[in-house]
Amino acid sequence: MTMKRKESITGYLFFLPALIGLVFLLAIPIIFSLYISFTDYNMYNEFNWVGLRNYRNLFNDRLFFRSLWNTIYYVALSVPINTVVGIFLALLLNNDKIKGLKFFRTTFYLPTVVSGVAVALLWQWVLDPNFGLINNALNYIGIQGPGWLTSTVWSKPSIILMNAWAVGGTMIIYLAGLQGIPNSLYESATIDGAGPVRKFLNITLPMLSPTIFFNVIMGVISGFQVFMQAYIMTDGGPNNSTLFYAFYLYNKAFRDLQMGSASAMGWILLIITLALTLVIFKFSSSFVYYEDNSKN
Amino acid sequence: MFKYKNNKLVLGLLLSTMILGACGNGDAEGNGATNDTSTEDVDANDTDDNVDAGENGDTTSEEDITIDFWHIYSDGPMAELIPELIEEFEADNQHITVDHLGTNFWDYFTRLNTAVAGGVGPDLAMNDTTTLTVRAQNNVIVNIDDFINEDDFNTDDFYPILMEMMEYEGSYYGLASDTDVRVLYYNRAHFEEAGLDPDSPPTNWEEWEEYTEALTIIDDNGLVEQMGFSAEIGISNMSLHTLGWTNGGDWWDEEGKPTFTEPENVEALEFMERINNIYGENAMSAFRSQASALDYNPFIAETVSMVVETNNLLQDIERYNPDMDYGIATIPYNVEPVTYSAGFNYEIIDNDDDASARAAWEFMKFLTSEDVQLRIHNELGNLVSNINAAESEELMQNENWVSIVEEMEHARFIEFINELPTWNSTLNSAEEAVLQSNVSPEDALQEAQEIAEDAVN
Repeated sequence: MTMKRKESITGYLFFLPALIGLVFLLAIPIIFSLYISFTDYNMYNEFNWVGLRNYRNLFNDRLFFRSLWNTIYYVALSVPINTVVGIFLALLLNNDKIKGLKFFRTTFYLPTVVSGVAVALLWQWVLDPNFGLINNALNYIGIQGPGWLTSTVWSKPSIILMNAWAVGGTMIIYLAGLQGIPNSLYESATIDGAGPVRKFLNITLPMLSPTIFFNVIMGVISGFQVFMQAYIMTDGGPNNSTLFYAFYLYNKAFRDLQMGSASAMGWILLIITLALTLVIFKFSSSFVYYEDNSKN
Repeated sequence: MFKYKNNKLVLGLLLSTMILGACGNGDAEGNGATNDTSTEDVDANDTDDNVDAGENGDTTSEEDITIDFWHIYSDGPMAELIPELIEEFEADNQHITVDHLGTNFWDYFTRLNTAVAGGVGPDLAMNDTTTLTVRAQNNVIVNIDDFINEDDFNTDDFYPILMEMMEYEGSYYGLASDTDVRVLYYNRAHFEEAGLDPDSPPTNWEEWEEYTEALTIIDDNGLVEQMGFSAEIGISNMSLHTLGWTNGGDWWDEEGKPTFTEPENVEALEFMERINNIYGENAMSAFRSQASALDYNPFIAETVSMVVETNNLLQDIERYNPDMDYGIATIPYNVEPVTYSAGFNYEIIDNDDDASARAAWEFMKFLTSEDVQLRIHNELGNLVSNINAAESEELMQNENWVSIVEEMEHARFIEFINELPTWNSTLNSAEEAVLQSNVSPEDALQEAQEIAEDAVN
């Protein structure tokens, strides 16, 4: 056996535990869930094949469409808001002349590391219609705040607002992106007489576009999996206004014990997320700029 | 060369250890439970998936055996009582060892269902009485008729409604541990102050509404100083389905079709809406926020005059406001008295092991015996299933407890609907729509009806 072959075998052996985990704990369960989606499995019975029944039932289920709408609403608002806020904060914190810069960066990043459940409980207090900080602040300037989590109109915006508070993670990524933009570009622009707005539109945004693209994709994927807020704070209410797709899937699986339907929902979510991601990729060439002119 | 051979050896050992570690069974939790699937103890004569208890006789009754018992008491007084009870049981049944595992209520069912589905479930488990049917249907739990007959076990010791809930297709599949009933608690002092007779609580909805208005005090800022009654106060114990039942309504017909939009049910939701309109949306919201923010029971704090709660409130009143002058009455009704009941039962999981099933049965009998049930009641205040315990001389000295046990005559469990086991949550959404979002009761129930029809069709 040659040395090269021996080294290859050693490499594979090192990789094998991860591969075994990937196959047995991820790939096989995922494939098996596809099979379950065509059965009436309820955790107690055998896997009885029912064909497309679960999928048909879902397309006749108004709560399925309600949950899908709620989730699309959430993604459509939270991703742009988080992108804009993240870039804005990154721009502010990309200035070495600010005193206490490290303190501010840490402070804005902190919400990201706080446990999701703790954040949810905290925001339940903040958004309380009578005693919460937000409505008290609004009252102070003469505005009567809405019911927030107790209102069918404001419940989703409340959760979007809560998500925007934890934008520190994406802010750090944008900050890293900003710091990768060569200063020479800004210097050249200054020489050519460009103002701050022109620099932002013609240098910062294009150079940051791959980072934005990445964050948008990740935001869309994680947005479609929004679950914790509904589970901890609202139980899908009031009146199913925060019944998100992943939460409805969880209810189907663990409260109604309809594993077949829940698995079908999982695969539908995969297809939706994949389709959206492909669409974003397809149109990315028109807004993502790569320095080496390579296309994605 | 020597170094390379050593690396291969180390790699091989590491790999083997990881694979064996991932595939092996270990302790579930730090409670000392073992997940003994007992697959090695399959009786060669038993080829059915459904093990009927005692089918092959208890030929190994004195052979040492360990059974797993799972329950919901991960903390609190029962977490201390359970080990004591186990010790006493083991002293009288020296060949049986009971390993128990308490799991937090919110995680318990997911854990139990997953374990049973994976074939590593316990031998004896607590479970939700309402959903016993689905487990019996799928042969997950053991039919205990043979055990009952062999031991001449007296099922008349238990409340009839609870034994009915343990039945599936004419056979019993478990024994109830405990249940609860909902009653109207009312503040007698408030009644007197409002000029109402404290010995005459409301008996129908008209009186209920009148009394609520008479007992309510709104302050100068439009906020509620004293609330007469609201269905939203009381940890969701004044549920819409109960109110509908008391008005002669039903939520499902005999063919398993939803009947949410029956006039009696619409009237129930209209009643809830009328009561809340006494206070207005802002005042109701403020009161609700205050109660949840300060985490206190407003009835015990005497800011609410009437509330529908379970029998467990008795213990809380005794603990936090023992001097309160209060009374207990049947939930006011228009057509018939009904109270919603929900509870837990013990079930033997079918692990294809007669010996474990027999041992689990012995422990189940012990847990539902009069003495043990009385001790469980004394810890938790639960309405235990054994009539002799629940209506023991000691407990029946308390007038309020007498009122509680009398409600068992009107106790009713929610229907189990295979396609929509949590159908009462659909009604919660209808309630929220009316009480918090100004949707009309008819529209709210129509939507709930359509959701239920989607599920069952």
